[in-house]
Amino acid sequence: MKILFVYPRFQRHAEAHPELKKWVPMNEYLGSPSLGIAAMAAVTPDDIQLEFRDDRLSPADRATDADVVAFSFFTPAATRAIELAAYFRGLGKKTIAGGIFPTMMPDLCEQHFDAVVVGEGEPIWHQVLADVRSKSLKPRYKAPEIPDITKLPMPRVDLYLAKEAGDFKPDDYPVQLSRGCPMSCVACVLPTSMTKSLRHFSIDHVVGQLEQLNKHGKRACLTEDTSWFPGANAKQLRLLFERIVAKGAPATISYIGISMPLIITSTPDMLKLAKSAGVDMFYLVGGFDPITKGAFTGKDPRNLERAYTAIKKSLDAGIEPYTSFLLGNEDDDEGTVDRMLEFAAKSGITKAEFAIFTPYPGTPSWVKLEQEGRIIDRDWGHYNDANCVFEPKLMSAKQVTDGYLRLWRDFYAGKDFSDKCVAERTIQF
Amino acid sequence: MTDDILTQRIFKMMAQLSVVRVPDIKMEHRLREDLGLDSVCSMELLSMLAEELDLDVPMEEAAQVTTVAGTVEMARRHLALKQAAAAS
Repeated sequence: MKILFVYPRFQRHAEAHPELKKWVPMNEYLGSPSLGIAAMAAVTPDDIQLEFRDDRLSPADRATDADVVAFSFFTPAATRAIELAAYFRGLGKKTIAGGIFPTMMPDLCEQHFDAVVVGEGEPIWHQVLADVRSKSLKPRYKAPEIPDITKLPMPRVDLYLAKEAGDFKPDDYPVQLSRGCPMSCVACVLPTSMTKSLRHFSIDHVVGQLEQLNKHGKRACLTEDTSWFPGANAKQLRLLFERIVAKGAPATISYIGISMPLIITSTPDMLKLAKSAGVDMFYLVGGFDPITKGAFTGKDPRNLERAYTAIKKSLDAGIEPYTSFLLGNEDDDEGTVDRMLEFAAKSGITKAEFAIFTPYPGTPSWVKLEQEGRIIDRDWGHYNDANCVFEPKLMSAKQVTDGYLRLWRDFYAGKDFSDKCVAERTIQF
Repeated sequence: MTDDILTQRIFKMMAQLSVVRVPDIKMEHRLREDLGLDSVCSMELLSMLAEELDLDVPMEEAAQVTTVAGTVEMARRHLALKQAAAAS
């Protein structure tokens, strides 16, 4: 038996708004696929042949000798995934959908795929494959329990590495520290897609993932800010940093995800340790947490002050805060764009990205905006943080889109286009 | 650590994050409504508990606590667990 895994393409910011290429100094960076396919490939029995196609690199709708085509995708790629499923079903192939979007929208996906895997797929994958073999594939699969992630094998990142060619040579690949989250942030799908149970991979597993990448000369990007949560979580992260320092391999992490509250709650000692472990850059995600939701509204001086403190703390630790600003939250108004630009200039942020608030299916904000009848665009390809797909509260959708473009343009105005450091990763998505 | 000492240490942590001073903090106070501790402050408090008392309270559990008394009780429970683990 043979499986073809497909990672469908999606529209990136600079594709949605080509003018960004004029305004933003950039070496357009195309990163690795997310870990879903690598994780499922790792629990696929050895006697099954695997093929992987990254639809972003070359169109995946080509003939195949695979028996089944398995897709992993998030919302921005859903339209393309559905299109590809139609193509492969036309060839007589069975199609399976998994990942965040199918988990959140299984009824919709059932109309387009032969089977939908809901939630984390590892515990049920063997059953799915057995049903493919016996030609008794069911429309929907959901594991009866969440997986014990301490027992999972290393993700098959080698499938991704094998696709590197030409200009596509990412210098880093994602590494998972944990799954799930106990919080209920309005814009985040994680507690729904991976449950509220925060589970850690073992330190050995994480170090193993880092070493796997190291062997190929690659660094790791750790995107989860949950790892900074005070208490048990931060302790786990501290152990990881200590292991990296002890191994004398300080260049293994390209960046690590964090949010402002977690910079505020991290001790200077912890930030120093992160720096010693080779963390030179934070991917500082804004717009989800109470600090960045309040700081740029003009009505919340306490959180504005905290935002300055967070950036200063990061800079003092020698870690560049590559900051992601989100426009279109419920309290954002026409003045928010100027407040964000003023903050970015005064706080000393040298690199930033800008995004439009997007109510992804499965998030609390999606449920709320659906109930209020404020979803105005259901083209999933537009759910990429570069289009306003809902009716904002204090602005029009056009004002939000114009504001987002002005943020990119004005923030990078005057920045040196020839400086490779400035241009690196300005537009990652 | 006696209950009184634990309570006083937690009051001091809360006073650092709140406009309410230590002598005015009461066990029945609600963290948000009476002490003005928003969710970021609660996270800072959890960080202080971890740093100063070496307590590994899970976020899930901390998120359920809404009063000063609840915070003290949570810390007491985790200290007891830590002592039991050390003794075994």
